[in-house]
Amino acid sequence: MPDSPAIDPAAAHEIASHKHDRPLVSCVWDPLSRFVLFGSEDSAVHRLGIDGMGVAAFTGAHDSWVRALGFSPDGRCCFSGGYDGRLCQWTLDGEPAPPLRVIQAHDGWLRAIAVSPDGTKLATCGNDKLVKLWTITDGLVAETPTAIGTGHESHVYEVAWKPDGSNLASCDLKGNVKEWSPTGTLVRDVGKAEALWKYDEGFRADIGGARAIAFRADGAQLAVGGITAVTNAFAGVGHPGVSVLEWSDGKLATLLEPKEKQQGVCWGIAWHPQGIWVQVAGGGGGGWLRFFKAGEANELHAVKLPANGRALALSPDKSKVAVALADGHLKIFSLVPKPV
Amino acid sequence: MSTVDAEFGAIHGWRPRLRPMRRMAFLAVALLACFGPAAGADEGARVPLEAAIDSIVEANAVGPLAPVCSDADFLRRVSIDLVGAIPPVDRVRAFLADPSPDKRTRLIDELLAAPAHARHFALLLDGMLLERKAPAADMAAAWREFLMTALAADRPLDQVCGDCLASDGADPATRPAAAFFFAREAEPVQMTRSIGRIFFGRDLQCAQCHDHPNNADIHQADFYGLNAFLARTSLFRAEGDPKPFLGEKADGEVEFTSVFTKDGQKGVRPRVPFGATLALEPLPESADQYTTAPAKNVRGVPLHSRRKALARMLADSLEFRRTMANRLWATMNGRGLVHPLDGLDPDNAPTHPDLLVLLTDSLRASGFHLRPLLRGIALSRTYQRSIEPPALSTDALAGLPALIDQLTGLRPQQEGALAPLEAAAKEAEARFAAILAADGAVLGDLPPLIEARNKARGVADAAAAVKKTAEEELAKKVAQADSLASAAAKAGEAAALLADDKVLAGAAAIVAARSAEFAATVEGARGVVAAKTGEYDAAQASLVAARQAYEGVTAKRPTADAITAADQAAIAARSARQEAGFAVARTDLRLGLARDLLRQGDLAATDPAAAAVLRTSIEDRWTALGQMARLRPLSPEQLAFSLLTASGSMQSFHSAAAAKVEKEPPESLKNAAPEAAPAIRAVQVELQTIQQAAGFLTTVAGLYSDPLATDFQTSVNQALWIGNSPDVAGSLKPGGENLAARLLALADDEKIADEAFLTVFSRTPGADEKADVAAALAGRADDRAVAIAELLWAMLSSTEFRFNH
Amino acid sequence: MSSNANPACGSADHVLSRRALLGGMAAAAATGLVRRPALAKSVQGAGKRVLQIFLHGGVSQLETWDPKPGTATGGPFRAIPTSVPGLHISELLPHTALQMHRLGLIRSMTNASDDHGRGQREMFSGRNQPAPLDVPDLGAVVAKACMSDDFPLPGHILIRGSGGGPGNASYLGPRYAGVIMEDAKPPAFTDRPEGLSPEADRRRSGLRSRFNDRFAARRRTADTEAYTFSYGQALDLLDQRKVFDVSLESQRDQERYGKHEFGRHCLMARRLLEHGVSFVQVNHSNYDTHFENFDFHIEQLGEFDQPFATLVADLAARGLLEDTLVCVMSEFGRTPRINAGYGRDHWGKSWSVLLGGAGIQPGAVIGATSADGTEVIDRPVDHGHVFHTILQGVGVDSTADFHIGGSDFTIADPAKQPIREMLA
Repeated sequence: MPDSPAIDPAAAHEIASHKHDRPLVSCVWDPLSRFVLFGSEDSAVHRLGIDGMGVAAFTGAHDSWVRALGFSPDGRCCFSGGYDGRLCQWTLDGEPAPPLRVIQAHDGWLRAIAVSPDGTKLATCGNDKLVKLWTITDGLVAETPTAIGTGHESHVYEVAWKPDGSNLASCDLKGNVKEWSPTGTLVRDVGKAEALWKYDEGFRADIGGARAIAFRADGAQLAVGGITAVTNAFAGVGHPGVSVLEWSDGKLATLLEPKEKQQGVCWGIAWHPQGIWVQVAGGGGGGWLRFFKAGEANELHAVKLPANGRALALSPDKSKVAVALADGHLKIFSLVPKPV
Repeated sequence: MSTVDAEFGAIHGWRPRLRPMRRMAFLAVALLACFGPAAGADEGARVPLEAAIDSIVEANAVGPLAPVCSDADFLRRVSIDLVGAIPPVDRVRAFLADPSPDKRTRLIDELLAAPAHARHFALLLDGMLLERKAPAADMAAAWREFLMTALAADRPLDQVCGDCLASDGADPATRPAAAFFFAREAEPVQMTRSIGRIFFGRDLQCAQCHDHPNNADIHQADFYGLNAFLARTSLFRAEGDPKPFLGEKADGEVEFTSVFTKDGQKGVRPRVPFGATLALEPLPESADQYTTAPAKNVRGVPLHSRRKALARMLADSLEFRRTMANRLWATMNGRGLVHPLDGLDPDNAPTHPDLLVLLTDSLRASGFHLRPLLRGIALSRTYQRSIEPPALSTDALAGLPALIDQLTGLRPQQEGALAPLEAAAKEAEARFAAILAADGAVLGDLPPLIEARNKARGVADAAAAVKKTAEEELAKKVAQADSLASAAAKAGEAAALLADDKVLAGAAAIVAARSAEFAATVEGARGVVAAKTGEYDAAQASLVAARQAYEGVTAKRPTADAITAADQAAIAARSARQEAGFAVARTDLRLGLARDLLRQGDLAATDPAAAAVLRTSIEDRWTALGQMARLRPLSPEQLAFSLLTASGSMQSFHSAAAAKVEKEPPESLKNAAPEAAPAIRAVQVELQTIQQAAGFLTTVAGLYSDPLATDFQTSVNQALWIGNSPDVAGSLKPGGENLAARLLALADDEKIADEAFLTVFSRTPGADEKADVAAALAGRADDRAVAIAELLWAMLSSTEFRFNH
Repeated sequence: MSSNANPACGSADHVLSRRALLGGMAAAAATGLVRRPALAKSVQGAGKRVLQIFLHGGVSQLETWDPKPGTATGGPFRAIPTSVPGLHISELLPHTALQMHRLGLIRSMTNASDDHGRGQREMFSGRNQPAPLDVPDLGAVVAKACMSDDFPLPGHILIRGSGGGPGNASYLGPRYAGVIMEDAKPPAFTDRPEGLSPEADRRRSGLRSRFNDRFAARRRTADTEAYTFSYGQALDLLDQRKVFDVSLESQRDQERYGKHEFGRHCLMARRLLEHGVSFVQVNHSNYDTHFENFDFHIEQLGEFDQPFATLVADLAARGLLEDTLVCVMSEFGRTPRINAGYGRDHWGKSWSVLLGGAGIQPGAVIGATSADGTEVIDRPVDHGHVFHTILQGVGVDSTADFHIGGSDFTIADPAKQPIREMLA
C-alpha cells in the first residue's frame, strides 16, 4: 500500500461528482484505485470508473438494496451484500458479467461485509442476529459459511476486522460490541456503545445501532457511528455520534459529536493514519463530511454536502474520500491542498 | 326573595308589543288580558301564571288527575329542580315540621333566591349551550363565571344567549361568551346546526343537502337562511398568540343546490329560522365596509356584522321564545311540551299547544327573566302532582263517553279550519317571496351602478384637488403682482421728486416695466383656474348623474316597511296554520286516550298482560298531559351533588370553598363596593364549590352524561362505578361530620333509620323500612361501620335515589 | 337500556321500546316469569362482532398491503405470494400472507387528511372532519347495533398499550362508550373494593332490591326497570370478571401469540370476542415513521404479523370469523417518496385498508394504485365507504338512521355508500 500523502482537512475540495438516478446507500473504493463501487435504492452494484471508465451496473443477482460492498486487499475479489440477505461475488474488470457466486447468506437483511486483511476470510452480519464467516480460496468465496457466530440479541448492523487480522468486531442495534475469533467463536463481549441506542417509550420502538464502524490502524480503538441523544425516534431528532471505544476494555474513549448539533446520523467512519477520524453524516438540510482529531470530541473541520451522506470510503492512498449521498450523488473529495 | 317579587312585579308593569299572530289560542288572548295593559290597571283581573297553567292542563285532562304530592316528595323534587340537589337534612326536618299552609310558596322563593340556584342553572345553561363540549382550557373558568354571574343577577335569557352569538372575544367583558363559537371552531355548518337546535328548536341538519325528507316544515332554505348569518364568521388566531377570536367578513353570500332536485338559490338572505329575514342590510357604500379590514394577522371586523344581527333578532323570534319556554318546562318536568326539544314540527305537536303559547308569551312578559316562569311552574298543581298513577275508579271513567262525543264533534271543525289557513299561509309566503324577489332583482342591477358612482366620485375628487392648487397658485401670483405694482408706484414718485437723478429714474422705469410684465402672468394663472374650474364642474355633474342613476334604481326597492310587513304576515300565517294543526293533534291525543281508558277496563278481564301494556301507555300519556308527575332520572350534575349532599361531602366542599374565597378573595370581590360584595362573594363561593367538586363532577358526567339529552340511558359502567369505585366506597366510610359517622354514633336502630332516610331519601322511614334497617344491623355489632356502609350503599343505589319523583 | 332505534332490527318501528320492555316486564310479572327483559331476539345484528386493529401513526401501505418492489418508491422489501393466487403482499408479513384467503384488501383509500388527529377521527367515525356534529366512533355504533340489551359485558372495548381514541359514543350515550383496557388490564371498577366480599355485595344488593321493590309499588317504569337491571348486569359482569384475565388462556396459546404486548393484546381480543363482545379494538403503536421507515417497519410489523395471523386463523378455526369482521387500518398511509432519512411521511392520497371475515368477500382486492403507488387509478374510496362496508358486513343497514329521543341521526355518511363488491 502506497504511503499516504499529507492531508489537510481544511483544504478538502471536490474533484469529481457523479449523479445517479436513485439515492445512494453505500460505496467502497477499489484497492487498486481503478474505480469506486456504489449501491443505491435499486438492486444493482454500480461501478464508477476513476479514469474515464464511465459507469456500469451489475444486475441480476440482488433484488433489494445493496448496502454492503467489499474487496479483497489485492482487489481481485469483489463482494456485495444486500437487504435480500444475499452475498454475491463479482468479476468487475471489463463489461458487466453475471456474478460468480450468489449465496443466500442471511435470513433478512445482510447489513455488512468485511474481508480479512489477508484476504482469506469474509465476515457478514445481518438481521438474523448472526455473524457468519466465509473462507475465500483461490479467489472464490465458499458457498457455505465456515462458522456462524451466535450471541447477538438484536439485528447485527456492522462487522470489522482488527487491522492485524487477528479477530473480528461486530456491533448490533442496541450498540453491543462483540469480539469473534476467525473461527467464529465468541471471544468476549467487548462493551456497549451506550450513546447509540435507546428504546423510545413514546413510539415503542428501538432506535440506534451501528451505522458505521472502523478500527484505528493500531487496533487500540474501535469507532462505532450512528445517531445519539435521540428525543424523537420517528422524526429522527438526534445528532450524529461516534462512540470511540477502547478495544482493551470496551470503555468509551471519546464520543465524537458535531459542534453544531444538527439532526442526522453518522453513516460512515474511517481512520486516517494522520490521526484523524473522517466521518460522513446528514444534518442541516444536507450532509457533512467531518474530520475529528483523535481524542477530541468536536470536529477539526467540516465540509458541507448538498445532501445526507450515507456512506464513505477512503482511497487506498488515503488522499481522497468518496461519499455516497441521498440525492444520488457520488462525490470524491481530495484531502490534499491544491497545487499553487 | 325580594328580587323575585320585584321581577314578578315586572310582569304586571309590562306593556305588550305582541303581534296579532301570537294570539291564536283562546287562552293566550285571555292571557293578554291577564298580563296585558289591563293587568297593571286592575290587579283583580290578573291570573297568576300557575293558575293559567293549571286551567289549561285541567281543562284538557282525560280521566283522573293524580293528587298533589306529599310535602316530602315536593321538597325533594323542587330542590333538585331549582338548586340541583336533594335538600340537606336540617331543611328536610324543618320543612316537614312546618305546619304553615304557604310553606311551599316560601320554599320556592327561598330556593330561587339561593346562590345554589344560580349554580344549578349555570350548569344547565353550560350543558345546553356547549352540549358538553369542553371550552378552551383557558376559558373554562371564565365561561362558568360568566354564566353564574348572569344567573345570579338574573340577566334576561335573550341577553345571555345574545352575548354567545355576538361576542367575538375581543371585549374582555363578553369574551367568555365566545366560548360558544370557540367550542365548535366557529365552523359555520356546525354552528348552524347547533344554533338551530339550541335556540330555535329545530334540527336543520337534514336540510343541509336537501329539504327535510320527513319534516315538511324544514326546507334547505331554512338551513342556509340561518347559515347566512354565520358563514362570514371564522376562527381567528394571530401569529404567536394562541388565543382564539372571531373574525368576520363584510361580504360573501350563501348559496345552495339540492342534491335531489338540483334546485337551489343564490345570495340567500339571512333569515332567523321560521322567523324574520334580514332583508334590508345597509348597501355597500364604498370599499370601507370594515372598522378593521381582514388581512394577514389582522382580524376582520365589519361595520355591519351579520352574526351580531342574529343576536339582535333573537328576542323578536317566536321560535326562540317558544324553544326557551319549552326548555324551561322540560327543566322542571323532565320533558318538553315538545319532545325532543329540537323536534318541533307539524307531525310532532306539543302536547299542550296553548300551554306552550302561554309560557312563550310569559317569557317575553317577564322580560326574559327565568325566575318568574320557574316560580309559576313550581307553584302550579300540575308541577306538584304525585308520580303515582291515579286509580281508575268507575266515576273517574264516567265522564269519558261524553268527552268522546264532544271531541268527535270538535275534530271535523278543527280539521276544516286547516285548509283555508294552509291556503292563506301559502299565499302570504308567496307574497313575501315575490317582494323579496323584486328586491333581489334590484340589488342585482346595482353593482355596475355602484362602480360607476364610485368611479365618478374618484374623478370629481381629483378635479377638486387640481382646481384648488390652481387657485392657490393664482392667489400667490396676485399677491406678488400687487407688491410689485406698489413698489413701481413708490419708485415713480421718488423719481418724480428727484427728477435730475438719472439712475433713480432708470431704476423706477425697470420696476414699472417688471410690474407691467408680471400682470400678464397673473392673467395666465386666471386662465388656468378658469379651465380647471370647468373640468371640476363637469366632474361634479357626472358624479351627480351617477348618484341619481344609482338612487333612481335603489328607489325601485320595496320599502323596509313593505318587506317587514310581508315577512311578518307570512310568519303569522304559517304559525296560525301550525297552531291549528297542533290543536287537531291534541284532540286526537285526547280522543285516543279516552277510548283506551274505556278499552282498558274490559281488557283487564280478558288479557291481563295486554292490559298491563296498555296501562303503561296510558300512564305515559297521562304524564305527557300533566295529569301525573313524570318520574325522571337526575341529571349527572343533580346526581353528583345529591350524592355529595347525602354522604355529607357537599357540606365540607362548601365550607372549604367559603374559606378559600375568604383567604384569597378574587379581584372582583376585592374591588367590590360593600353593598355589592355579598352577592359577588356568594357567586365566588359557588364557583369555588364547583372547583372543589370538579373531579367528582367530571367522573359522574363522564359516566352519566347524554350529550344530546336524549332519553334515559343507563349502563353497566355506572353500576360498576357506584358498586366498586373508591369515590363511592370512600364516602360511605365514617369521617368527620359525614353521614356514616353520624349514624355510627347513634346507638338506636330507630334513630339510625330516621337519620338515614331523612338524609338520603328526604323523608321519614315507614315501619317496614325501619324493620329492614334493624334487620340489616342485627348481629353486626363487631362490624357495625361495614353494616352501615352496606345500608347507605343500598339507599344511594336505589331507584328512589336515582330518580326525581 | 335504551329506547333507541336499532337499525339492525330492520323493523319499521325503530323504537326498540322501553314500552316493549315494560310490556315484557308486566307480562313477566303477570305470568310470574323471567326477571330479565329478553330483548336479544329483536336485535338482528346481535352475535356479529367487529375486531379493529388500529396501526397507530400510519402504517406504510408499501411495506404491507400494496408493495411496489423494484420501483423508486418501493423501498428495499420484496413482495411475497399469499394464499390467494396472484395476490402479493410485503415480505414483512409472511404469516399474514398465509391467511389472505380469509381476508380482503382495499388498495384505493384516498382522503385529504394528513393530520393524525383528523385522520384518526375520520377512520373512527366514517365522517369527514371537522364534522358538523360530534358523531360516535365505529365501536359505539357496532355496540349499539349488535349488542343485545341483556349483554352483561361492555360492548365496546379498547385494548391498548398507548394511543388510540377515547371510544366516543356521542349521542348514542354512555352505554356504548368505549371501555378501555390499558395494557389488557381489566376495565375500571370491575374489582370489588377492598374489604367488600361477594357475600357482602350480595347482601347489600338484597337490601337495595327491597328498597327498589317498595318504590316500584309507588311507580314502576321502563326507566326504573332498566336502572335496577343494570345492577344485575354489574353483578353478572363481576362474576364473569375472568373474561378480562388473559392469563387464564392456555400456556401454549400464550406462546403462540407471543409474550410481548401486541401478542397478549391479540389473545385478549380473541378471549373477548369468544365471550361475545361486539367491538374490540387493539391499538398497536407506533408507525409514524418519518425516519428509518424500513427498520421501524421490520420491528413493528415483526410484532404484528404472527399474533395477527394467529388470531385470524384461530377465529376461523373456532367458527368465529363468519360473524366477526376483522379490519386493519391506520389514520392514513405513508408517502411513496422515501425521504433523505430513509423515512416516509404522512400520506392520505393513496393507501390501503384490510377487511375480512363477516360479510366480506374472501380474497377480494378492491382498487389499485399507480406503478409507483403515488395515486389511486381504480375505485377511489375513503373512510366513509369503509365505515359503511364494515357495518354492512355485520348485517347493519348503514344507510338507516338511529332514532334517538325522537331525532334521526344518519348512522353513516349519507354521501357515501358501502363498497358492494367487497361484500360477500
